[in-house]
Amino acid sequence: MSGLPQPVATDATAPLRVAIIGNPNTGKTTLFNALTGLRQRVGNFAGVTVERVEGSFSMPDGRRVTVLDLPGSYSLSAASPDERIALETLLGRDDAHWRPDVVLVVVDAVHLDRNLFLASQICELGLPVVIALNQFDAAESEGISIDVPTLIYETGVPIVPTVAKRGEGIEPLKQALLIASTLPAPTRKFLLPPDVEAVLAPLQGELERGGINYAAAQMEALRLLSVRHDEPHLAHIAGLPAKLAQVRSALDALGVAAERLEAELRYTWIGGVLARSMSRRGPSGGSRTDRVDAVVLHRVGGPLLFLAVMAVVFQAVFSWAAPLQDGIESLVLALGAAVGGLLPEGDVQSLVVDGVFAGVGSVVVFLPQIGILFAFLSILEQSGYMARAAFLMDRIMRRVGLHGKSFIPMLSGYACAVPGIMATRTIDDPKDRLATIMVVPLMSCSARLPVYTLLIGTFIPALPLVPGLDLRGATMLAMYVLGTVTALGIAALFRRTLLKGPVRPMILELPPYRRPGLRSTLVSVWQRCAIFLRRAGTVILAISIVLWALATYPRADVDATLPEVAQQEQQLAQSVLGRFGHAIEPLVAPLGYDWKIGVSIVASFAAREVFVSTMGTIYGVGGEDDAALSERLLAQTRPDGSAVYTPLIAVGLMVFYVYALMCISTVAVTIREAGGGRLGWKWAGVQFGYMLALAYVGAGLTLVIGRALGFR
Amino acid sequence: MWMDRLLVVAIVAGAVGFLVRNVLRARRRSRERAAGCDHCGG
Repeated sequence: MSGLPQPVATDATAPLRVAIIGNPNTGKTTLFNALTGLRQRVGNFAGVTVERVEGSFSMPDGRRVTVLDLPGSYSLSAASPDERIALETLLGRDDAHWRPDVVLVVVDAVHLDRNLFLASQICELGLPVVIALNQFDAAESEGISIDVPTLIYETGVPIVPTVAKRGEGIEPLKQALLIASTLPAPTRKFLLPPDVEAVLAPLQGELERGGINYAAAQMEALRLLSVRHDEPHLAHIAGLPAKLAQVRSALDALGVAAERLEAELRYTWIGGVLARSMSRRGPSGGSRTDRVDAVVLHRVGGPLLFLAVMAVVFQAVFSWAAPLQDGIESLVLALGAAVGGLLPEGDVQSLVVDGVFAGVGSVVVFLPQIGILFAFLSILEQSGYMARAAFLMDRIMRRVGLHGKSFIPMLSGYACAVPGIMATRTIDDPKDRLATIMVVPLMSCSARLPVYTLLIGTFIPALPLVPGLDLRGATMLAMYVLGTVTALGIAALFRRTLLKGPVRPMILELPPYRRPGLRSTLVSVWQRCAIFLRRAGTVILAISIVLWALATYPRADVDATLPEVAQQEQQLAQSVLGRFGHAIEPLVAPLGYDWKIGVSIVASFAAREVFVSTMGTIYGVGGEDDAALSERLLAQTRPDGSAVYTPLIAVGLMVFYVYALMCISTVAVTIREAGGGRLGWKWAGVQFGYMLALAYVGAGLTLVIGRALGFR
Repeated sequence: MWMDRLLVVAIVAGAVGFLVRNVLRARRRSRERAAGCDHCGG
């Protein structure tokens, strides 16, 4: 095989296949979205993309371009499962995915020195490369001036300055991708010392015999010198470990440190390239980001500021959502009444009004809270503040024995435990990863929001505490803090018992502060709202219908002399649901709950929001039709005349929901991510069991302590 | 009256069918990936 780069022959009519790669948090996903018009989630921290995502667009001449967004990686030597995907795909060793025709390397213009390391490795894979010099505006505003033509000359690949979040440079980038596909692949731009090159030659030959192309074998031979973990994509080359050991000792004999060789050669080359193509105006230290960080990352002030920010967020969830929620509630009630009026009196009418509208409607009214919470979280993520929060948490994480990287999955858990558990793929150590998987569901997800909001809005008074924060916002914050603190405690327990292992330090990159994009914020809010509405319209709708049937049948002989509401109560008590509820009542009675709450808890094993819809259905079947759920809950009394729901019961119920793993999807994803098969089931069982025990004990203790303090 | 009952039975059966299908699909997906996914480490 010739050592010369080969022109890449691509069929001008076939779709062009492009893979996007780059360091974490360089804006790859924003660029992917800008190219394809898709709406993948973006954040201003590392590890947002852990799976490959595919999209496509058309060039003006009609040619299709398929784009693959690969997880972020600092180099091709990374050990974590998500980062290995990238190398396997680029080498064509991944059976599940195509090898790209062109690689688009996204580099952060502000941190070119570090970003060019990965770019230089990729330029040696024997594939045409285009570099997107992203966040070009941020570099300019930091006084960094980049001479793009010189950089193109030095690297030998097309380079396009872009500002992905504003869509700048996207069209030239598309053209560059098309042109690059017809150009020869770039080659290594630095020379190895002749004696080192001679030592590496047998290793390179071994790789080529194993099916790796000439250019990539050259890159791999150098890269493998610093790699100490197994490389699955090279496992088929039987003679490789022996050859690698020979090369290492030969380099040792030459006085060359094999592990540092690649880094020294590449960074020396990068230093030279940047000296010729980049200049910096003004003082390099003391940027605006540094000044803000001095406050935000302060040892004492930082955590306090974080708590204050979160308090503002939760207060806003209550204050701002209230008018919108009232509007949706009135709309749902009016719509239910109108539809009910159109139907003839009978079971179908009851199903629609008491099952569908009361059940699904009681969940849908919480849409504004979901929207407001995720608007805030998206703004905090994009601004770079969440990465600072991870930094603040790293100290605590290390103390409990978790890797600092665990904070990002835990942060994702605030939205939903499923992507949170998937995000643990960025964690290299299996025990670290498993410990994180076990605690991610303790972070309060968006499905708990309707439960918290219903109970807080109904039973907790809006007593002002400090300017801008009342008791409702503070209670909500307390629930989130309770979940987070418990997650850390449980993680510490796992890391000291079942999942014992050394604590590894984390290198965390703090991104510069950026102005959040309106489009990205709206996309994030829309995605969460769409997920919420889709669940309401599918799973929750179906469960509401089934629960309505269980609460309605069998028809019982009721005392016709009783008032209508009492008759409905009697019917409900004799239904399948009523009988089941009474049977399990002894289990929930110690927590202060009646059978209706017990039934709602059991039903919410499918999904947490079902607690609210079940309450809606039960009180819809057995009560007035024209009252909102919160009013119905306040009106409930026990046979002795005491209130069923008190603020203390409500807080106990919320504590139950902070801890209980009421989500089939989370159980399924834990089974898969914890190893699948028996092992996966075992860990999912441990997770479900300990969380249920925590929930029961937590809710019981809340009741006991609350009563001891004189609360009802 | 019987039309009313029939409609209710059909709607409830549809809802149960939907939920059962969801559970089966989730189980199948979990089993497929658990069989050994090279990419996610699962």
